[in-house]
Amino acid sequence: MRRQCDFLKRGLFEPGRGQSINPWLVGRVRWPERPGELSEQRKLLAEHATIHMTQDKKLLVSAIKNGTVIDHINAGQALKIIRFLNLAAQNKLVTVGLNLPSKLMKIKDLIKVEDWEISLEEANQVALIAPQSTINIIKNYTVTKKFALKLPEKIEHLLVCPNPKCITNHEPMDSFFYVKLRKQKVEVSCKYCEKQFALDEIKDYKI
Amino acid sequence: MPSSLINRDLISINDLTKNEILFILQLAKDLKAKPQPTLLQNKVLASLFFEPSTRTRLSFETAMERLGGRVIGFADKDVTSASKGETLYDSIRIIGQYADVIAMRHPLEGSARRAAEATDKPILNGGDGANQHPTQTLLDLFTIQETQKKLTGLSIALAGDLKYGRTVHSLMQALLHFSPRLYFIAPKTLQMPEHYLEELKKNKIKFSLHEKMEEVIKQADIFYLTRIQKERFADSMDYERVKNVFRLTLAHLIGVKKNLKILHPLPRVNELDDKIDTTSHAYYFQQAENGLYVRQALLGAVLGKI
Repeated sequence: MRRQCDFLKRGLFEPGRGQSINPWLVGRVRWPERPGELSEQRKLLAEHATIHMTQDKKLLVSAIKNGTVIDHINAGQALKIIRFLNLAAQNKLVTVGLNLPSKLMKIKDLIKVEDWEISLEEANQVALIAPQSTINIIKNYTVTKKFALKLPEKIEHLLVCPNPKCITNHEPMDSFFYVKLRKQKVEVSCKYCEKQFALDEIKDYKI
Repeated sequence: MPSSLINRDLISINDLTKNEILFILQLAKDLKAKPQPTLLQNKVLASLFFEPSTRTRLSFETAMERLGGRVIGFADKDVTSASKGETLYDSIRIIGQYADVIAMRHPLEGSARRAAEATDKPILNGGDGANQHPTQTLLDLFTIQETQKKLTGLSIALAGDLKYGRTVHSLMQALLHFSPRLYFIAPKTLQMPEHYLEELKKNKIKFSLHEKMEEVIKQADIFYLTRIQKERFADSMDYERVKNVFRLTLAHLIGVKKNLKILHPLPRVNELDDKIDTTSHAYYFQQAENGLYVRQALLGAVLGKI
């Protein structure tokens, strides 16, 4: 135990000279018994690198050195976001946590993508599925950018119009939806057939 | 003249402002009073009907002919390259090179908006599936104005298939500009969809829902009746029941306002008794005729000739 704590004090996110952190190893390291001793920077890192612990304080998802962390995704939506952003096809290391314990949300999903930076447009697409999620860009284990998510005004390409008689389902063309909030729910309306749908009525994506 | 209409598409009634609507109605009135047989000389209308239509197609084509223009086109998609699998985009892109203006009807919803992306020539939507039919709405407004001498503050009853009927949806949206009192009469399962009712509330338009025509016909200035289609009912017995109950007859006209006019986009089936045709309240045949003037007005306006 002492050795593990020493290791952390030396720098969980700031490896000593000649020492690199194996993210999978980090995932198995125990947290110090007195978290109050952590520096402010480390607290921030711990929060934004979204280290997740179970009751016995084991880390569930590893920290990343560079990349994007999408946290506080409502449980069950992470795979949808992966599909939405086409993350599986980008040859990047993607770590997904499903149904992770969360103080705020009870359970949540989480996605970390190494060496990939989400664009503002993509972040707003995430807002469509998980409006309360947080998105941070990590560089050298430090949060360098936070996105204030807002709903996009329009969505091109991605959604498949659920109306079988819509021209977009019959021609080789992109779909186009306008987005609006109605009674606290996200609604999209097709530019072409002019039909309106609740977001959960969209079952298919053009990916 | 709003130059904003020159070279414009008319895909949805929502594309037009109140002023543009009033301008088109005024043009239609002028053309009805004074024909202009040479206005569109040397102009070509492509009349593209990918699904059958009688009134809309013939009135578009007649409108063009009566303004001195010429018409190319088809009334059956089986004679086109669409039957060989050509995309609508490609077809319209090519036809746009032959014609000055395109009037089209297509069974798929959103097809007119798609067609407008394929050409810089104006597209006039003559119906895209169950979505929009804006020239019908314009001729309805024209007829309402013609019969009541005004558009604002009227009591208008919309009856029939209010759930799926594109005609009543578009008319209702256009009427938002004119502060009407609206009555919706339909069998419960075919009543006006909730999101349209919300739009009315947002615009502070008074409305009420009814199941029987006799509940409101005495208050109405305009009674707009639409066809109830058999295929809208899961159970054909339900249709038969509604069909016989939901029928406007002479008996309904006792005690109605003198200025009441009955409108119908036609074709009618069972919902409108033909004994009404000879009463002073019947105006649906004149309404169909007015389509000719409204379409003339549109053709003239988008081609920048009036």
